[in-house]
Amino acid sequence: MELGIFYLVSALLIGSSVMVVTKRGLFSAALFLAMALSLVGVLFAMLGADFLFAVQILLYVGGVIVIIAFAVMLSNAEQLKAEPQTNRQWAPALALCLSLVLMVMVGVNRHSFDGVLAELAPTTKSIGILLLGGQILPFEVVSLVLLASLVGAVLFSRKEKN
Amino acid sequence: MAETVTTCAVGLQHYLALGSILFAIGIFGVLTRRNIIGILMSVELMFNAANINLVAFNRFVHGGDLWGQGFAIFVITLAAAEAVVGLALVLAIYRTMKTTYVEKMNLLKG
Repeated sequence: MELGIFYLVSALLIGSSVMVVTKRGLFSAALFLAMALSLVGVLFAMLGADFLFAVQILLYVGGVIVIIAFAVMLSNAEQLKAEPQTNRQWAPALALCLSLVLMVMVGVNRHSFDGVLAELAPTTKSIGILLLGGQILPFEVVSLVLLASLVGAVLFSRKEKN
Repeated sequence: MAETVTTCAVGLQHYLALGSILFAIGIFGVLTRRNIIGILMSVELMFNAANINLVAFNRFVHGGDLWGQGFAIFVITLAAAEAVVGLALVLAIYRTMKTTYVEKMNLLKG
């Protein structure tokens, strides 16, 4: 049962990801990216990470996809559908990616991972305690990074004064 | 490890294989896309592949801890910041050079 759901989600995820990188129209590629990110959220839910599932839907599907859709609509990307959207290096790129997957799979299959299996429980409270306890330094540093990216986005998207 | 495989049908290896496939698709997109917005979308796919691996390792190897999920939250936050700044840069480049193709952005080429 669980294996069947996993294979279904994996097939949909791989299919929509392939559409993201090969589709000519960038807006439909963005919609396929939304589907792929939602399916990654489903995988998080299957792994017992309920808080990350919510974060994935809220931040990626609700935030990043909207920004990408705005960027597609504010540039001329959608009018360029008739031109080929990939360069001529797809054969070496495909060989590189296939060899990478092959190497990783051989390595993963040869290695046996021993460890403690987590029991499924709500994680939101524990993650809050972890973020304000053990991970307090990266938490504060990330707030600085977010401030810098806010200022940078305003600076870059401002109209130049002539 | 043997009894964890029998009690739980979907193992760590499944998630690691899926993560590597997703990462390779992202690399393929970065290498072959001409449009810079498409390249940024492929980078988002690669971030998600890394997040799947982090959460899977947290679930199957370090079960009593939540550091993998906490790290994945930081990855998601930085990916969002990167998308915001990157797309603002793309729009600034589009305003000055009237193109989103990476091979035409050759202002610094001698």
